[in-house]
Amino acid sequence: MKKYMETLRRSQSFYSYIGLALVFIIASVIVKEFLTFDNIITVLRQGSILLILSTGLTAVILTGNMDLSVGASSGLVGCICAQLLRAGLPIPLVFLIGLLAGALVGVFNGFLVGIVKLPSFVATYGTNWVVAGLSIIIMHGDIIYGLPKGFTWFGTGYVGPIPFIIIFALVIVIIAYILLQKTTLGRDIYAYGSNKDAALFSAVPIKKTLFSAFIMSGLTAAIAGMLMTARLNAADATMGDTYGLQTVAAVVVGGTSMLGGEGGITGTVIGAMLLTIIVNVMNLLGISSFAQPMVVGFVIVVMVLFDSYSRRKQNTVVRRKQPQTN
Amino acid sequence: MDNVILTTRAITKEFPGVKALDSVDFDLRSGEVHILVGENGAGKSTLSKVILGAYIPEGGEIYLGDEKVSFKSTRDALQRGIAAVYQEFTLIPYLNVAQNIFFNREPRNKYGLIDHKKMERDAKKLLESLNCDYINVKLPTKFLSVAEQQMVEIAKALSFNPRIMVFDEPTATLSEREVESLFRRIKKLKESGIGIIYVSHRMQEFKHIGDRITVLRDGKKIATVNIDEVNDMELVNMMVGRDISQVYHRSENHFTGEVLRTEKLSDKKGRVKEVDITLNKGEIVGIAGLVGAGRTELARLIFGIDPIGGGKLFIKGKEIKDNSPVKIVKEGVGMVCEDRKRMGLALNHSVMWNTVAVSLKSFFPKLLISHKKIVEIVTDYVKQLRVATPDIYRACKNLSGGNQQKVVLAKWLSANTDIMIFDEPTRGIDVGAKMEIYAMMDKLATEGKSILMISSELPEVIGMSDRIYIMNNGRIVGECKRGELSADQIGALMLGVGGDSCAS
Amino acid sequence: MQANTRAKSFITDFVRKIPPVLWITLLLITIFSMASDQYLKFSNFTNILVQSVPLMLVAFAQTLIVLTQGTDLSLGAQVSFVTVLWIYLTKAGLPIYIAAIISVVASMFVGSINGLIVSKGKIPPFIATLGMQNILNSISMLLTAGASIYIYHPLFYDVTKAKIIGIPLVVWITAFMFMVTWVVLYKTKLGAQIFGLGGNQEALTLAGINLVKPSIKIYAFAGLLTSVSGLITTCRLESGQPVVGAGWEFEAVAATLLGGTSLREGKGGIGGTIFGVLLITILKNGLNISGVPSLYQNAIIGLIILMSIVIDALARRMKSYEEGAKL
Repeated sequence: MKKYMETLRRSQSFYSYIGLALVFIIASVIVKEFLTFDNIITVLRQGSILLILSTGLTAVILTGNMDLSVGASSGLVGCICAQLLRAGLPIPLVFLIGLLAGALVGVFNGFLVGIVKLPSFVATYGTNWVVAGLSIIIMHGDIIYGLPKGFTWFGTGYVGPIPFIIIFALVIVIIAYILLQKTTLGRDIYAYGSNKDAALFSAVPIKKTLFSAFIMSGLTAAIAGMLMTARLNAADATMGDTYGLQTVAAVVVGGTSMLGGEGGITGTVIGAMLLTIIVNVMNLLGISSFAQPMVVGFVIVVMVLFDSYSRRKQNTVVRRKQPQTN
Repeated sequence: MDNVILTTRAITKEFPGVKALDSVDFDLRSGEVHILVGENGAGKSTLSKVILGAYIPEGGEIYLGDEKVSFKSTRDALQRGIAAVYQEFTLIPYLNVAQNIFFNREPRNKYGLIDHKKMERDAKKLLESLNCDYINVKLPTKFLSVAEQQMVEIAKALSFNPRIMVFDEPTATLSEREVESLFRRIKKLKESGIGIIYVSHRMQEFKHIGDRITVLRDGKKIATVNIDEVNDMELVNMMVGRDISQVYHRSENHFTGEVLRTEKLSDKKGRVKEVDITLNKGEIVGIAGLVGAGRTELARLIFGIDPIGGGKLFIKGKEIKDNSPVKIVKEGVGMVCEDRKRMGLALNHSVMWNTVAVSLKSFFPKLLISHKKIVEIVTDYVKQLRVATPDIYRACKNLSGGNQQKVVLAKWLSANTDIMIFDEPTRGIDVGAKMEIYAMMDKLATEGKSILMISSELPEVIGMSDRIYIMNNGRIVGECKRGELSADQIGALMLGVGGDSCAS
Repeated sequence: MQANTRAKSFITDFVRKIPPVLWITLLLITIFSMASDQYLKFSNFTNILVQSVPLMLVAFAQTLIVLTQGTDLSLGAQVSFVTVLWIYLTKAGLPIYIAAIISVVASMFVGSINGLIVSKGKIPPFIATLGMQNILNSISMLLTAGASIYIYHPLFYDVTKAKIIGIPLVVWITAFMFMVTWVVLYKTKLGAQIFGLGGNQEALTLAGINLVKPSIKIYAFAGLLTSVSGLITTCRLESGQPVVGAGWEFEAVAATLLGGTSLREGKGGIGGTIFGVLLITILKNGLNISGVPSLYQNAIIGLIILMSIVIDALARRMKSYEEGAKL
C-alpha cells in the first residue's frame, strides 16, 4: 500500500518518465548511431549546461515564480569571467567572482519579486534585459577567444573516458536534490509554492525562502555560464540567450507545476535529458536546425498537455470520492 | 398541497463509490423558506445542485408544479425560474454592478452593442426592489463590501424572475447585523411568493428565517418538519444520528500564571485600538465581537502578521518588540486561522508535510532531515488526533473540513505550542467534528496550554470560554468570567449599545 | 454612503492610475530635448507615433490576453510569421492583397489554436504560447531559409508614406484598430467575458458559459491585431524577416503593465497601454536621436523600463493600502 502511494506521489513526473523512455526507444530504433557509448556521452555533455541551469530554475518554479533571466545571466557571468581571465586574474578568484555575480543577479530578482512585489515573470524578464545589455557593454561588442588551459579544462577536460562537465553537472544535480528534498530550506520552498499564506502562518521565513530560491537560480546560471565559456573557449555577449526559455521548457516538461509546490529535481533531469535527446536525434538525422524549434515546441505542448490531463484525472477521481464537500 | 411549486421524487445521485443522494423526496411551496440541513457530506449541497441543474441525477424525477422536468444545465434551470445565490460569489471583480447582474445577457442597442444605459437603469430598479439603492451600479464589484456583493448576487438571481431561489450558506461570511438585513430581504422575497431553499448548518438561524426544515444524513432524507415543532437538540440528533448530551463540555481547571499580556496594543491601521488583555496558563479566553470588530486583526497582530503600531506585547513575561510569525512561533505561540484552506494548509501537500510544516526545524536543527523520523512523528500525531486519512501521504485537499482542521492542530501540537490562537475554529465543520474540536480544546487547556479563541458564534464563545472579552470597533468594551453575563448582554456589548463605553 | 465614498476613491484612484508613466515619459522628453535640438521638432513626434505603431498593435493584443490572466509569448513570432508569409505567398505568385488576407487569416488561426490549447487543454498560457513561439519561428525560418526575403511592390511605399490630414495612414490604421478593440472590450459580450476569465472563471462556468469559445475568440482577435502589425512592419521593411518580432511580446507585456493592467486580477484596460507603448518608443527614439552609442542602448532601455515598472508598482501599492492589508 505504502509503495503504491509512493509511486502515485511521484506520478507528477509520470508522463515525463514515459516520454523519456519512449523517445529513448524510438531514438535507438530509428537512428543506429544513437545507442553508442560515444553518442550517449555526447548527449550527456550537450545536456550538461541545460541541466545545471534547470536545477536552479526548478527551485524558483517550485516557489510558484519564474526566472527568465537565467540565460542572460549565464551569458553575463561567462563574459565577466572571460574579461577577468584576459586581465590575468587567477582562475579560483575568477570562479569566485563569477559565482558572486550570479548570486547578485539572484538577489536583484529576489528584491524585485519579494520586496517590490512585481510579478516574477515581468521582473525577471526586465533583469534579463538589463543583464543582456550589461554583457554587451562588458564585451564592447567583441568576442573573446583563447582562454587559459586551466580554465577551459573545466569545459573540455576528461576524467577517464567521461567528460568532466558531466560529472560536474551530476554533482550540481545531487546538491540541488539534497537541498530541495532533504533540508528545511527545501521544504520551505515547497511550502511557499503550494500556499504562500499558509507558509506565512506556519512561520516559514517567506522572504528568506524566496531570496534563497532566486539565489540558487543565479548561482546555477553562473556555473553554467562559466562552463559554457570554458567549453567554447570563447565568450560572446549573446551566448546564453537561447538557453532562457529552453530552461523553462526543461523544468516544465519535467512535470514541475508552474503554480508552484509540485515537482522536483528528478523531473527536471528527465525534462532536460528529453529535450537534449530530441535535439541530438534531430542532429543525427540531419534535420534542418530551422525545423528543430518546431519539434521542441510540439514536445513542450504535448508533454504539458499530458501532465495537465493526468493531474485533472487524479483530481476528478478524488472529487468524486468526496462529492459533497461544501 | 396546491401551492407546491417544486417536488422531487426518489432523487438518486451516485458518485463512484458513494451514494450522494439516496431516493430523496423533497417539496417546496411558494412563499416558504425551506431549510435544508445536514452535516457536511449529508447531501444537502448535492440536492440543491440537482435542483439547480448543476448535477444530473441517476434516478428520480423533478416536477415543477405538475410538470415533469429534467435539467441538463444550470441554464435550463434558470430558464424555468430556478436561480441560486451561491456561497462562493460569482461576481467578476472588475466589471461593475450592472455588468455583473446582466453578465452574458447584456441588453443590446440597435447596433448590436451593449446598451450600458439600459443595463444600469434595469440594475438600479432591481436593487431598489431590494432596498439597496445605495449601491452604485457603476462601481466595480471589487469595491463593494461582502454584504453588498451578496445583495448584487441576489439582484442577479432576481433578474431571472425566479419562482424558486436557492441560498447556499448565505451567512457564512456576514456579520450579525448584515445577517439581519439579509433575513429581512429574504422575508420580503418570501412574501412576494418566491419559494426559497435555504442550505445551512447554523442552527441559531433556522428559527429566525425558516418555515419548514428537511434534515439529510448520509444522502438520505431523515425528516421534514415544521420549524416550530422541533428544538435544537432534536435537530442535532437527527443530523448527527446519535444522542448528544453536551455540546460544550468543560473540565474543572485551574489557571496558574500569566502567559500572554498586551498593554494598550494597537496596530498601524487603526483597526485594533489600545487593547489590554491577559491570558493565563490553562485558560480558554474567548473574544466575542461582530465581523469587523477587530478580532481577527488582534490575532494577526499578536501572531506577528501585521506590525505593532503602539503599546506592548508580552509573551511569558518577555516583551516582543519587532513581531513576526517566525519570532512569535519561537515563543511557543500557534495560530489556527479562520480560513483553513487559504492560510492554514498547503492543500496540495500531504498530511505528512503539513503536519511538520512548523516543527521541521526543531526536529532537525542540523542540515539534513530524515524522512523516516518524520513518518514516525506524523503517524503518531495522526493517531493521537484521530485524523481520518488512509495514510499520511494523502493530499490535504482530499480530507474533510474537520480532518483538515485536525491536521492544522497537529501542525501546532508537533511544534510544542503552548499558547494557541483559534480564529473561528469550527467554521465550515460539521457538528460531529465540531464536538471533537471542542473536546480537544478542553483537553489542551487541562494539559496546561492556553487558548485565545475568536468566534462569531456566540454560543461557542459562551460555552467554551473561561473568560470573555468583548470587542467593538477595535476596542475591548467588556470582560466577563464564565457565566457572568448572558448571551443577550454580551450581544448588546458587541453591538456597542451596552456597557459604559459606547464607541463610534 | 460607504459605497459612494468608495466610488470616489475608485475614481481618484483611476485618475491617479496613469501618472507614473506620464511623468516618466515627460521626464524622458525633457532630457532628450536637452540632449538634442532635433528632438522637439514636430516631424520627430510624427516619427515617434509611426515608430510606435507595430508595438502598439501587439500591445493591444497582449493587453486583452493579460486581462484574462494569461500572456501570449507567441505574439512576436506571429508578427515575424506574418511578414514572412505575406512576402512568401506574393513571391509564389499570389496577388499581393490575397496574400495579405491569407496571412491575416493564418495569424488568426494560430491565435485560435493557442486559445484552444489554453482553454481545452487547461495548460498555462505561458507554456502553450511558448510552444507556439517555437513552432512559428521554425516555420518562418523554413520559409525564408533563415534570411530576409524581398519583393518590390509600390503598395509598401504607399502604405508607409501616405498621409491623411497630415497624419500618416498607419497611425490612422492603429487608431481604427484601437477603436475596434475598445468596442470589443467594453461594448460586447466577449469583452465582459474577458474580464470574467481574468476575474472569476467560476462565474463563467456557473453562467453556463463554456470557457473554450471565448478563449479561442480572444486569442484569435489577438492574432488579428498582430497580423495588422505584421503587415505594417512588412510595408516598412519592404521584406519578410523571420526574427523581426522577436521579443516584442515582452515589450508588449511591459507596455501593458505600465498602462495599468494587472497581471494578477483581471484589472485594467486598453487605454493605458497606449501610454506604456509611447514610453517605450520615446525611450528608444530618444536614445537614438541623442546619439547614445548603440552598445549602451540595450542596458539603458532595459533598466529604464524596469525602473518605470518598479516605480509604477510602488506608487500603486501606496495607493491601494486597503488591498495590501489583505496579505
